[in-house]
Amino acid sequence: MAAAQRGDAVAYESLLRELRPSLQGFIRRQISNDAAVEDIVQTVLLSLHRARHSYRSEHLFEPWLWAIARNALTDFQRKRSRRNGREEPLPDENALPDGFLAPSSSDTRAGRDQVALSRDLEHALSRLPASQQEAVLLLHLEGLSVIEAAVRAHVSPGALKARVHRAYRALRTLLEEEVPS
Amino acid sequence: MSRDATDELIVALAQGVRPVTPVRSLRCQVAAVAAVSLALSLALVGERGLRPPGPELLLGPTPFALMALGLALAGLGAVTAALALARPGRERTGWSAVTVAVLGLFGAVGTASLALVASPPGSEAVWGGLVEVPCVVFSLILSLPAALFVTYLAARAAPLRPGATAFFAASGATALGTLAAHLICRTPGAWHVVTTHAATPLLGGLLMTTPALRLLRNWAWRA
Repeated sequence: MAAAQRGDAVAYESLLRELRPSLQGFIRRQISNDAAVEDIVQTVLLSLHRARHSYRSEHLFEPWLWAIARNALTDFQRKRSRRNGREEPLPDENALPDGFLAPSSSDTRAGRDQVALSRDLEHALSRLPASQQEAVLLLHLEGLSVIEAAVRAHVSPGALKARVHRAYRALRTLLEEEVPS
Repeated sequence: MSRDATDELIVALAQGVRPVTPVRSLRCQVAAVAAVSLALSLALVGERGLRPPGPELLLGPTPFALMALGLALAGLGAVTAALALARPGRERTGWSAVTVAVLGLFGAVGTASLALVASPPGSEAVWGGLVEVPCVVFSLILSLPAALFVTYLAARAAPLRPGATAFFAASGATALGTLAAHLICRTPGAWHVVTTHAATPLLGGLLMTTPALRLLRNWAWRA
């Protein structure tokens, strides 16, 4: 690290490469998602680069490094829990009606039934008000979160959830009329 | 991001690495802040004189002397904590310094209060109300140089906990500013020097943390 502080690029690259497996191991003990682990490793490397002047060679290197790594990990976990706290799962009564998704079974008869149901659903969906259609499509066809869908629809998350709830109730009623069985 | 992206990042960081000057030692920075505060206190005492009746207040464990010691410990402890928390890996030093600051201040308040309780009544007669305000305001003004200096030094390191760093910088600097005000304070009443002078660093911490945090982020960004 002292060599890196003097601007030695080779020593610095070798140090960063040497640190990478230890950082990955440290972060993987807390986070199971590989992509997130790599993201945090990169954040740690960037923080280490920005803070490299704060290391003094008379002190141990490891406490300095792990303090930066712990800080990056804590930041990540805090952001994740904040994000999760903002996004509420829709209640069960808002669950998608059966057969909403396209058929995946290879069974011909079941597949035909699914296709028919999907057509019924598509038909029922087209009879909903535009705002409710949009809410359902954003959440379930585009796979957006409630927050993202609300931003796209220019409404509050609460309003979007209300629209989806009304859409599901209407869809259920329409589907029961069209598919009595 | 993928594993390849991490490799690319390592190469980019190594190629872009420039020589940097390591931060000065913690001891050196704390000594610099202490020197600035001491110079300010001595200049004030030289200009306005020590609190009446004068130097005899500092001889022996008087409430005035105990409070001066408590404020010095609280100030230097909190400043050390702010500067240590701005250096990755020095957190243990930082929290130890916080302990010294808290024990120093509250130990001094406790001992001084016991001494006052044992003394004849009457000294608390003028304590409280608007008479405290000029003293507190003066202390806060006197703490500004140290607050700016500590915040600047912390920003030039790597403050990973900016909130805690800003709070300790603000309260430590206020304790040092209060120490300068304490030495020359003319507000009558022995309880004033114990209660108001002890509460001012906490008030300074509450009032100045947000501006210190903004400065810290601003200067750290530019550093």
